[in-house]
Amino acid sequence: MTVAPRHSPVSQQRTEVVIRARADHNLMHDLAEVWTNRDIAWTLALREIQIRYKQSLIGIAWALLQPVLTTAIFTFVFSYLARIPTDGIPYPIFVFAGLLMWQYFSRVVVEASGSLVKNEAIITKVFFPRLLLPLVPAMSAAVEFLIALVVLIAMMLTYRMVPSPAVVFLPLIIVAAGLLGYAIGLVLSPLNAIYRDVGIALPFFMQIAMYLTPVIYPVTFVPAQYQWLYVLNPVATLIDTMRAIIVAAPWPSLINYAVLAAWIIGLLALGLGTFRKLEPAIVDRI
Amino acid sequence: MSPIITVDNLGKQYALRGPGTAAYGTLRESLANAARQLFSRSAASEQKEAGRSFWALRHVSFEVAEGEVVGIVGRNGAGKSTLLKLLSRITAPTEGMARIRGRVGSLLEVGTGFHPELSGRENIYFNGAILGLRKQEIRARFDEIVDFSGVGDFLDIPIKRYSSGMKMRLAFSVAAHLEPEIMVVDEVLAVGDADFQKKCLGKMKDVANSGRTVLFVSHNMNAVMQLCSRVIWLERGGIREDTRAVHEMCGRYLLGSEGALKGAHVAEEDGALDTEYFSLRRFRVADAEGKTLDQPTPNDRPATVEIVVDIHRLSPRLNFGFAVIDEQGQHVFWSVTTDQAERDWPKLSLGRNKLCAQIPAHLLNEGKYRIDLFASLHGQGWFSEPGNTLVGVQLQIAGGLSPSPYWHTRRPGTAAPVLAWHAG
Repeated sequence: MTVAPRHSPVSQQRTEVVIRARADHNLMHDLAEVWTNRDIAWTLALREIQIRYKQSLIGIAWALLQPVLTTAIFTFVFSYLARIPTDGIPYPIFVFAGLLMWQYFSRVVVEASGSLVKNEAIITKVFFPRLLLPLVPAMSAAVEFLIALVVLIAMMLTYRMVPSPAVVFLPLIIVAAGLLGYAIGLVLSPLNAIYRDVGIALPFFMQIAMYLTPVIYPVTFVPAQYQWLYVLNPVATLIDTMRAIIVAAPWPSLINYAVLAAWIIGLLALGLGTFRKLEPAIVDRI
Repeated sequence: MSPIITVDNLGKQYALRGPGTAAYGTLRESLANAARQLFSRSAASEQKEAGRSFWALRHVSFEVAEGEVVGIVGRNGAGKSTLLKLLSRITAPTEGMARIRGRVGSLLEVGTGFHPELSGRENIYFNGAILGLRKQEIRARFDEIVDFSGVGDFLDIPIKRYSSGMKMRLAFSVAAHLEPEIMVVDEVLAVGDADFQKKCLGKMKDVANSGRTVLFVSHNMNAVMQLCSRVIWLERGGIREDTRAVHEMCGRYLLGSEGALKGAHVAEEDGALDTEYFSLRRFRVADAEGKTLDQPTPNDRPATVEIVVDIHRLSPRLNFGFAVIDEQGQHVFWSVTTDQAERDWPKLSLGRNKLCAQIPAHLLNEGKYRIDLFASLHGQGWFSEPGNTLVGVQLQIAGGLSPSPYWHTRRPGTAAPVLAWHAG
């Protein structure tokens, strides 16, 4: 046996890890671990973006093309054919602003829910806080959100519209949307790892959810007696805020934000609970 | 000084899944099960649950002092990889605990976390980050990592075009340059050429000499003898031996269990295989007198493979058989109850069945073989897949190669038949 003394600075701050049957770490400890390992989440997010466009012909242009084409089709169908009124905002701008927010949110939800299954190869071979995995799509999708945002602003300039100074609040609602998607991903990703049905059903439900959310129509288009329902929809609040920031549409009321905050906090609590409870079983079952 | 690793009564239980259930559950199944449980006694289902799980590791306790290099040896399924997975926190134990002081760098399989689409360079950064290095730290070591791996010319092509040897070299190189306090290495020397293996061993020696702790799983006893100051021999999920007399132990390990071969797998002692269709009672190789072959047997005598099962449910798709696998892991041949025309298949009945087949004399060359149980539901899935099962026995052929006055020593080849020659 050789015991050599060690004089490196690392040994001073050496942490002791206790491995036990039931994770006896408290929530704070887990969250602190997420924070100290945030580099991993960034690396994973960058990798996500790299991989997505690496083998595609026009690369990152897809991030622009997708919302632009969708906007063109929605404009034709819902503005030109169905003539949905948009409170005086040009329909392409109106729908693009909504689509950006919706696509960000729905991508975070779908990808965060699939994150455990997708990263199976890493999960089963290296340890790092798995709470990070559903967070990765919130970061990688944000990059594409920002790219598409440039297109939106360019479109607005052609309509001689200028974003309001409230644009400084934009990061806030991205964070809110990201947290909301992350929270849902925390609930669904371990369930998806155990029951693949979740991953199959989710895109379908997201499609339905899009029509229940004022993406292609304004809330004012809905009969007045049903409009209160939209207060309960946190994504509706996010989209309306986006429009308020970008195109000076009316701001949602304080109640909307209270409900949004309640959703985020409630879902995060539920998500952290579900994820931390199921996580140990997932590695063995995945 | 307190130990750097303390393992106390560690145990890990895995659920066994038969081929009847899918690899992953469906919501429908769970809902159906939940509904069923409402109406049945839950105790009964718990009992059934217990029968369908096994302990990959149990009652394992040991301590490792800082700077020790510990080899972990044992046959397939002895629990080596499970132990490493527990210590690197990839999976959580079912009982007991382990205390680890310091950062663990683990290299559990080739290409840990490599993404095939990304280049070698990108993967170095990614892998480093996953293993807990900051970007600047990776940058500082980048050249060293590339140098050591010897893949410098291929840094900018995607990993998917790398050979498995190159991948392995890169992965080892990244892990070795992490400078963790504890390095956990699982069988890395299985791939890579002799030169690189030497380099890896040298690197691990450096790591050990710098006072860090290494846990090293290997089937390569030479490497274990060269590197380790202590060996833990795992067997069936428990510690069979924990010793600093490395050379003596490696010698014993190579010989097998006290020179006797494991000629029989008995469900009660060696682990059950219980499925919806059958429960395995016994699997063994026997000589012509019906005695279990726990000693080497000459090539000129047949050996009988015997499978005893209790069948609970009949199906024409039920296959039993065995595979003969040589020491290099090559499958020599498989033989299955349904190999012949359907009318010649053995009749299976509910309850106890004894199935026998003879490995003829003058077939296998001298050497050690493993006989693995083959059991499947044809076209639907495995109960016991040769090469990947816990149910296996040993067979050693020695001597008796031919009655000829000329040929008494082992020839090359896996088979050693004696064919009749005619003139004309």
